[in-house]
Amino acid sequence: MNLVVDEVVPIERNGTPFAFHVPTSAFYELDPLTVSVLRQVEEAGGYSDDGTVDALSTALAVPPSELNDALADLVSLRLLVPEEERGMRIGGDQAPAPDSGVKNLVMHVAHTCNLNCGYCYAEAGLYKGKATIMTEARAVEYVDWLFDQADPDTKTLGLTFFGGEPLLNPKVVRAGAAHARLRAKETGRQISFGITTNGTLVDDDIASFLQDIGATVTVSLDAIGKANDRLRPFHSGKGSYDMVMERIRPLLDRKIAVARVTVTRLNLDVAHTVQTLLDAGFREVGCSPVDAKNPAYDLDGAAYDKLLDGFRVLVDRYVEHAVRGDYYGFSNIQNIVKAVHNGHNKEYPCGAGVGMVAGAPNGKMHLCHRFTGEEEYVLGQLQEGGIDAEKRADMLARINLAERSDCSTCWARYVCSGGCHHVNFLFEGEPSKTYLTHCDWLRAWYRIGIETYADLLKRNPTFIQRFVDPGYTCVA
Amino acid sequence: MRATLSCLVAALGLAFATPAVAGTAWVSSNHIQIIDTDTARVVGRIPLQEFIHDMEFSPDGQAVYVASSQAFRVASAEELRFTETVSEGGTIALSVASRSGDVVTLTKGDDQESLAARKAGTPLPESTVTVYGPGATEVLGSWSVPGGSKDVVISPDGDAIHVLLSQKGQVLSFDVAGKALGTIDVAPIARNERGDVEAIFSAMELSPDGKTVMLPSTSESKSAIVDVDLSGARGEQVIVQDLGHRRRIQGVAWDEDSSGIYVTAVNHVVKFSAAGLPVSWQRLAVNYVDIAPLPGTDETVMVAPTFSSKNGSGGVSVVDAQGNVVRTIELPDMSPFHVAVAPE
Amino acid sequence: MSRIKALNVKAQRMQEVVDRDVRGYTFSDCCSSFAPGWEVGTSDNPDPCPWKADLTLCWQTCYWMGQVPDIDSYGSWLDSCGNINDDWRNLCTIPDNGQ
Repeated sequence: MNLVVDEVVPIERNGTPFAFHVPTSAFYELDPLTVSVLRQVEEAGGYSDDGTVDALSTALAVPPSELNDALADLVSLRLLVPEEERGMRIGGDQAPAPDSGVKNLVMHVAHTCNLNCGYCYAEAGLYKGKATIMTEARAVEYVDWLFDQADPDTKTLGLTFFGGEPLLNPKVVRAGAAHARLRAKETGRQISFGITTNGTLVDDDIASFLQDIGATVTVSLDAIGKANDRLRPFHSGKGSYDMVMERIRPLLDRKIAVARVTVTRLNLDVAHTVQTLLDAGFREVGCSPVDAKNPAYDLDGAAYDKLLDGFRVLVDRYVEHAVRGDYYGFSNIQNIVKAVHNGHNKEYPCGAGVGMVAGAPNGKMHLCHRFTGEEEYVLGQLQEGGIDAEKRADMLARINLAERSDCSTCWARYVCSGGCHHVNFLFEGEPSKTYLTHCDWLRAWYRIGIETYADLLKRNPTFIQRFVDPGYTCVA
Repeated sequence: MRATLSCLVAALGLAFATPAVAGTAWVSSNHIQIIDTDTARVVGRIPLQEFIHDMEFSPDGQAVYVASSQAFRVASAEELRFTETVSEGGTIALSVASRSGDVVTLTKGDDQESLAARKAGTPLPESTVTVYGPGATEVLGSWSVPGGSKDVVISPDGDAIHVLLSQKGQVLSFDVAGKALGTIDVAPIARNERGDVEAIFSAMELSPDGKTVMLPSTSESKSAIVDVDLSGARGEQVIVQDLGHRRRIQGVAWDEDSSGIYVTAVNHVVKFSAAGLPVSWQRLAVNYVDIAPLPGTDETVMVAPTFSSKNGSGGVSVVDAQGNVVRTIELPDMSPFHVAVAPE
Repeated sequence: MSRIKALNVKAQRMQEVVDRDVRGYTFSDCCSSFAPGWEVGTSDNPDPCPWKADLTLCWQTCYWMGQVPDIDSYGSWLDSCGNINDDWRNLCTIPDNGQ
């Protein structure tokens, strides 16, 4: 049988060799002998295991007994596999069945917004429709749907208030939350809340309420000062930065706010943005490349490089803090470290359609919030019972990683899983057609994530236990 | 590489019929292939269409005694052909006395009777032990032993014959006339209610100096070597050496100077000293089921019925003292189960 | 397995599977009850016991119920097999009643 080296991403940190095994997302530390064996087998185009280890033993100048041990280890972990099994996925995260209960609902309580951010995929919250506000009755209906269709063994459900700007409809936010808490109590479940807001309409009252329901408050801010003003103006054209920073004080004081930075070509100085926002009192700051087909904002290769540089600066700070046992709230790296640690190996890039759907004020339920307004991506009508199982199953089949031929040879395919459906849809017309421009960046970024994970294990493994996985035992 | 006659012959491009020389191995399944272990070449074949259970050279290297499912035959090591069918009947084991050249065979009972007995739960029909003089021309003695006997060995001078009764975990000793000399219990291991041992004894090998019998045994919990002292020199007659694993033991062979035995277990070959202590342990990629030392060297030759699963071939390997495989001969048309090596 | 350290959750899981396999059913070893049958090998593929090689091995040293008959009753069973891999079709089948 001809054994070959399976798909592996070799990583070296400070002279220590590691390997990220693509089909399983398992991450190993190797020793010099196993590295030599892998290299030798790679160069030779394979290793035939039905003869002797003579040739390999001679080539590596290693006694056969040691070599046999190393080979056995490599074969049993599937780092060496039969040729026909190369790339065979094992132990991948199983997506829930297409008819399993949805766990998270993104509720568009307002299809309108008081800001006019140029890049907004919702086009100032209108989602290709008229400005609308969700009624209280509709919100209650949505909440009931979420609880009624949930699987019996799902203990925690999630409800996110979204828009447009959700705080333009605070009454429904409060009513929706209240009803959800009631249903949760009745059904013996937990409900966790989220809200994404531009921050302009926050006050002390709202902040108290949000703290009371334990919501994770995400404030959208893209840059500091004038740079932010340019990206996130009011309809009048006036900048919103100063006002937002003032209004969100009650949130920052209560330490319940995280910031989300939408990265465009105009605000690539993420290191400065993230640091400033963390200093201002945000618990965490996450950056997300813009989701809009607009040359004024889109990121090209050069922009992605600059973004990566900025990320590297932030990662250094993160690691510095981690080594000291502190958490630096740059959530992009924290998320990747978690993903590498858990060995995420997925067929879908996110929960859209799988565990999460979005609901519009008119009762139309979509694959996710970004697809609201796109008729083809409606998965059901609330008034008609909610998500249509067949439509959902069809959609999931359509957007599965297996549909993406462009991804089939990429080493990051089980961790990226094809990227954002909506970005692909915007740029390529189809969720299953991968928007390839972001791929180099994604791979480079994920590699940084793996390297960071390796560094953390070496320099302060207790960080992983404290901030990533309490059940973890480090063997590095 | 030792300069041997066969090398010279091969170099001169002469034909097959080379005299038996040290370094020649006979390997078998339902036929025999003759291998030159120096050049790693098949130098002859003897067809048979009967499964061969055992083969052994005469001390002068001229004859090879062959025990098969249908008969006991003698072959000429020089002419590479059978010269004599000595007796009919399934012959499942044989042994050659290393000094006197006498031969003992173990012939089993009739197939049909055995099957009937198994079904009825009655004892198997008896097996027969027959002792011949050198060349197997003369019968020196013949007697019955219990059915289910698995192996037989004869002392170097031909004066004692030992039969392995594996189900009972016993070795029965006789003289040439068939008089019972004693019974040795080789399985101080758990027995079930019927008195049968829970271990499988696959073979029995007598040391060239005739003093020790080694029996590999495999049980549910472990693999072990049972070491039987026939000379009475040691305090305890039977010592069980736990191999510390549960791998099925296949082949066993004594080193020519009685210094130790080689045992092939699944994916391993182990060399034990005469005291039954492991002296080397080598992991191998292939399962070798029989082994024989190459006289005058510190190499051994081993056979594997499945050598290359890709090619579906059997194979023969020559292994040095460090356990490195120095030469292999792949046999596309044979899955060899036994090997016999010409003496020096 | 001291050469390769399993670091993340998936790696540790892969290693557990391996360790369990080594104890429970190892490639080319009999399972502990001496009745191997068909097992799963290191590559999760069936037929790790090279049964074509094991034919007399399993039966002389242990037994493989229903698949290899005892040599006492079926002495000629392997007579037509030069290379087991090629010739296993020549083996006669033994029906349940043993005829």
